[in-house]
Amino acid sequence: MIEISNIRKRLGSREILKGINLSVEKGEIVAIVGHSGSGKSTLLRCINRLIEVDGGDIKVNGVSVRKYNPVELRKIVGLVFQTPVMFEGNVGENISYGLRISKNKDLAYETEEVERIAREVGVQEFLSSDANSLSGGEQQRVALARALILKPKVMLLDEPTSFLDPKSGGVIENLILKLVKSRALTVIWVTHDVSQAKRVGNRIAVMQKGRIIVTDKSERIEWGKVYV
Amino acid sequence: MFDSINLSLNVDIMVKLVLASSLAIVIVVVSYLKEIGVARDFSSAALRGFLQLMLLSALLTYVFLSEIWYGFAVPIITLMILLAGYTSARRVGAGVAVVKPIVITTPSITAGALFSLSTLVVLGVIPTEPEFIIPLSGMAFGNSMNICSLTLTRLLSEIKNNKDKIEAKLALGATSDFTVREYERIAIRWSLIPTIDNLRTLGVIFIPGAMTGMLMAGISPVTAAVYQLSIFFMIISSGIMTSVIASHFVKLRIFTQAHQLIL
Ligand SMILES: Nc1ncnc2c1ncn2[C@@H]1O[C@H](COP(=O)(O)OP(=O)(O)OP(=O)(O)O)[C@@H](O)[C@H]1O
Ligand SMILES: [Mg+2]
Repeated sequence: MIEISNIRKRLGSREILKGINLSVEKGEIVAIVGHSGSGKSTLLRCINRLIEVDGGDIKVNGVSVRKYNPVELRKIVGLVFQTPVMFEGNVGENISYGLRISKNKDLAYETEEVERIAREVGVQEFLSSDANSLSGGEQQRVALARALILKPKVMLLDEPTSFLDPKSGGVIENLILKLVKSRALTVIWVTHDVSQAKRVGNRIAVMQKGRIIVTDKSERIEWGKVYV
Repeated sequence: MFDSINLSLNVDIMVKLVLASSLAIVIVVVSYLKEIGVARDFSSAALRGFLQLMLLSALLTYVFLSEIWYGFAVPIITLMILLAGYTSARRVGAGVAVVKPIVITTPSITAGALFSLSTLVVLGVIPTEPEFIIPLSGMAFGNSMNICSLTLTRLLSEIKNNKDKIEAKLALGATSDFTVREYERIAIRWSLIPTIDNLRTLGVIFIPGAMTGMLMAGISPVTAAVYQLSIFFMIISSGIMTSVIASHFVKLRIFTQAHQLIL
């Protein structure tokens, strides 16, 4: 579903990604671990083309991301950011954002979908509250709903629980697993928590110094200071 | 006999200039006492302004009498354009690395101001005479310059402050145009506030320089008022055009074709 071949990316004067190779099967969850600054977020932003790679190629569903209309690509490849950013307006408006901006709007469908997905992520009682007044965990639920309402095939999760306390982090982790598995989504889940990676990932990729190595969970690898 | 009248007029006016400068002393003294630190800035600005105005009046005296005044108007207006573009670009500064301000300010100011000026000329409101064309160009370019600076500083700071939000929207399939529309609107509206407020209070608490000048020169108040209103429509229309064009250029520079924010 996702084939990343030899991508390079320079930011400022540093080469952040130095030839990354990774392929993720349909319906698979690959967890990426790596130290802060190792380029995990940068990699995700290349996949939905929020930034442009300097070299190499990324294919989604067999097609190079460069061949997609970026707007369409981003509807297929959802990205949940490291810290949720709420838009102006209430929770309902946040969740429906991606539907509201599309050309052929369908108000009835929109209302129905928003309610359905809000219930699924557990924010139905907040639908008319100001999104910015929600707690971090609630905002992350909204961010998930906002991406999922577009019915993506791929989800890129950038440390979706790292800013939460361990307890609500665990709750969100389980929620995400439930959401992506029920939809059979292909997932790249970035985390700096190795035990979370082991819990959620079918395979684990370790990112360090601009490179990546992938392992299934049976072998114990030691690379730099990261142990898997 | 004429010479002597002229001379006495000139002496008279020079005395007035010196007397008016007494207010300059107030500025320097207040600045010094209250440690505002504008004395130096003011003095150099005043000196510069004085020299520029002297030069301008000498030049205008010559140009107004010249048969081929447009031969002078073109370089004068070109100079205005360059100076306005440069000044506005300096104001915007290197706030955002990917945006080279001068390639945005100069064309926006030029297009905006020339649009309004030429409209009024074509409609016959402004006679094609140097006494009108040159000072009105100055007003149009000057105002467009200010509005351009206001638009750009506000727009760039809005975009910088809302970078995360913009990217989150792009990630949901929004187009770059769509994600910055609200900031564009804010910046354009904001840039026009001073001029529109001036228009609102026109004649009550604000009698603008041009009208003051016309009244002092003995033009009938009604004629002066008509010209003043025309001037306002001209500077606001040139301002809004400049503002819209400038923000469009900003979008072209901070986004790629693939709706990527490169800031
Ligand atoms: N626009 C930029 N210009 C220059 N350097 C940048 C830019 N954006 C990110 N970087 C640098 O790129 C490196 C990788 O950043 P990235 O956000 O991908 O790391 P990360 O692995 O996601 O880290 P974290 O775990 O802290 O989120 C960092 O050193 C960061 O400082
Ligand atoms: Mg990161």
